[in-house]
Amino acid sequence: MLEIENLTAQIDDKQILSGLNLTVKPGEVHAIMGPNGAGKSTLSNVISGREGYEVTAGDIIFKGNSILNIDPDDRAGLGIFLAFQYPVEIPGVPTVTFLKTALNAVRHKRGQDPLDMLEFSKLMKRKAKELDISMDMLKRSLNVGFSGGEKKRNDILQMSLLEPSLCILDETDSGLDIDALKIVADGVNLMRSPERSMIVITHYQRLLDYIKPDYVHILSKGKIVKSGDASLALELEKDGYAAYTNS
Amino acid sequence: MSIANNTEKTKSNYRDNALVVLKEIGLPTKRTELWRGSDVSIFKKDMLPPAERLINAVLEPSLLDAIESTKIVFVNGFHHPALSDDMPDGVSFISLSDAIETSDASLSFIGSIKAPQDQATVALNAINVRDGAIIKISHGVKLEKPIQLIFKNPVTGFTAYGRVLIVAEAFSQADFIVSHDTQAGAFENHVAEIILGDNSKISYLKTVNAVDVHLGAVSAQLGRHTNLNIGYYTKGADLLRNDTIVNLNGEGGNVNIGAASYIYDKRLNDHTCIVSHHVPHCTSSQVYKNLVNHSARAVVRAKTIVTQNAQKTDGKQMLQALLLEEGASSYAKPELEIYADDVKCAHGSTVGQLDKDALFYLCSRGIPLNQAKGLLTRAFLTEAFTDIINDDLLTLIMADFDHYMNN
Repeated sequence: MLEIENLTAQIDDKQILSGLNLTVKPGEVHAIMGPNGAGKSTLSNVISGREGYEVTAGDIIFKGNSILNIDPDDRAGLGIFLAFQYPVEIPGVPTVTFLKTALNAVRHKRGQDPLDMLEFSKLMKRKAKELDISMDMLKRSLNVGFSGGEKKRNDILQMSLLEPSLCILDETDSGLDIDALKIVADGVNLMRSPERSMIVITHYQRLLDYIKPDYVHILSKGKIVKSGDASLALELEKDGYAAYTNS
Repeated sequence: MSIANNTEKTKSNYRDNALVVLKEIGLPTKRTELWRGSDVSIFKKDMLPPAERLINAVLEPSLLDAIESTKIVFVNGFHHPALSDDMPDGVSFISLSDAIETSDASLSFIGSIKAPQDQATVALNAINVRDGAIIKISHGVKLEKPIQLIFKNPVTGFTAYGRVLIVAEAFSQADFIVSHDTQAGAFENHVAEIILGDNSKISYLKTVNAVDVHLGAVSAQLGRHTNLNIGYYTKGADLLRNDTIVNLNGEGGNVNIGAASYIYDKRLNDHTCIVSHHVPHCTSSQVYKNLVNHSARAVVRAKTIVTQNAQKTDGKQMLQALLLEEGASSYAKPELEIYADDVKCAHGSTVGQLDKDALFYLCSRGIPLNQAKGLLTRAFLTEAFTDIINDDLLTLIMADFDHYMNN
C-alpha cells in the first residue's frame, strides 16, 4: 500500500524528516507517536502533498508508484485521505456543497459517474447518521462555528464518503472530550477493512484504547527510532519519550 | 408622506441649483477628500456629450433577464415604452420627461435627499438628465414580482444620463432589480433616489456592466420602522464610481448594504458610502467584498455618521478585499463618526490573498486547485449578499462571475 523510503524533507530550509522509513500493508493500522517537533505533522502533510514542504531525498511509493510529483487533489483521487489536526473553517461554502463537490471530484478521478443530488443526499444522510451529525450542521458553512468535536466528526464523515484506501489521522484526538473521542473512534473503526490502511498520529496512548493499532512507531528527530506492537504505546505512557529523544 | 407641500420646487430650478453647486465644489480632483485613492483623470477631459433618445434599439440580453419581473426598459437613459411592461396594480409610473412636461407633483422629491457633502456625480446628473423613471408604490401595496429596471446604453461616443425616483408609501413592499449595461466607448451617469415611507420595505439590487465610465449614485431616506436592502454587483471599469447616501430619519429604520465586486484587468471599482443615523434605534450594516485580479484596483470609503440624537444605534461595517495577483491593489477607508454616547458600532477592514490552508483542505479532498479557488472566491463574494438577495438572483450573478473569472 505505502512504502516510505529514506524520506528527507524540509520546510523553509529547516530539515524536519531525516531518512524516514515506513511500510504499511493493506488492512494494517500503524500508530505514529512522538514528542512535539518530532515531525509527525510534517509526515502527514508530505504524504498528502501540502505545498511548502520540499522532499530532498527518498521517495513515497503508494500502490506501487511514486506520488511525489502528484498534486494533492490527485493523491486524494488515488485514495489518500488526511484527517486534519485542525480542520479549516471556510465561510460561505455550505458543508453539503463541499461534500458533494469533493465526492464527485474523487469519483471523476476514479472513472466513476457523478452522483446526482438525490443519490448523494441519501448516501450523505446515512453516513452522517452513523457519526451523529445533524442535517442542520451540514447546511452550515464548512466547519464555521463547529465545536472541536463537530469538526473532527465532519472530517471523518468526509473520510467515510470518499472511501480512501489510506487514512491518515493527524492528532484526531486533540481538542476532543471523551464522548466526542468515542464517536470519532467508532466512526474510524467502522471503516477498518482488509483493503484499507490507516496511519494514526497521536501524542497520547488514549486514542489507541479506541483505535487498536497493529504497529506502533516512535518518531523522534525526523526518523522512526523504535517500532513495536500496541504494547509499545503503553510503555510510552508509563515512561515518556525521554528515553528516545535523548538517544 | 405629503407630496403637496413642496410643489414650488421645479425640475428646472433643481437644474439651476446643480449648476451653482458644481461651480462651487468643482469637479473632483486628486485633493478632493471623497475621491482620494480613486482616479479623477476623467474629469480633466470633457465628458462625452449627452446621448439622445433612440427608438429602434437592438438590445443585447441583460444579466438578470431570466428573472420573472415587471420590466421597464431605458435606452440611453430614455424610457422605452415599447419594450416595457405595464405596471401592476398599486404601482404608478411616470417618465421623468413627462413629469417635467406636466409639472407632476412627484418632482418635488427629486433631489430632496440631503447628502452630507455635495456630490459632483449627482450635480452632473441634475444638469444633464432629461428622462428617467418616477415610480410610486401605493400605501400598503406589497408586490409579488420584482420590478426590473433595465438601463441599456448601446451608443458609443455619448454619455447616457439616467434617473430613478422610487417613492414607497407607508406599509408598501417592493423589490427592484436594476441592471446597467453600457457599450464600450460610452459613459453612463445614473442617480437613483429611494424614499421609504413608514413601515415600508424595499430592496434594490444594482448590477453594472461597463467598460469605460459609470458614475452612479443611490440615495435613500428611511422613515419609521422601514427596511432597506441595497445590493451591488459590479466589475469595475476604467472608472466605476458608485456613491451611496443613506439617511435614517425614522426610529426603527434598518438598512443593509452588500456590495460584491470582481475587478479585473486594469479596472477601477470605487464604492463610496455615507450612512447617517439621525434618530435613535436604527441599525445599519455595510459589507463590501472586493475580489481584485490582475492590476485592478478596489476603492471603498464607508462612513457611518451617528448624530448626537441617534442613541441606541447599531452600525456595522466590513470592508474586505482579496488580491489574486501581485499587481492588484485595494484602498479601504472605514470611518465611524459618532456624536451619541449610547451606541454600538463596529468596523473592520481586511486585505489578503486566498487562504492557502483552505485551498489545501479543499484539494486534499480531491477538488482540483482551480475549482477550489472558484469555491473560495464565490464564497467570498456571496457573503456580501447574505439576507440581501434570493437564491435565484445569486445563481445568475455567480454564473456571470464564473464567466468573467474563467475568461
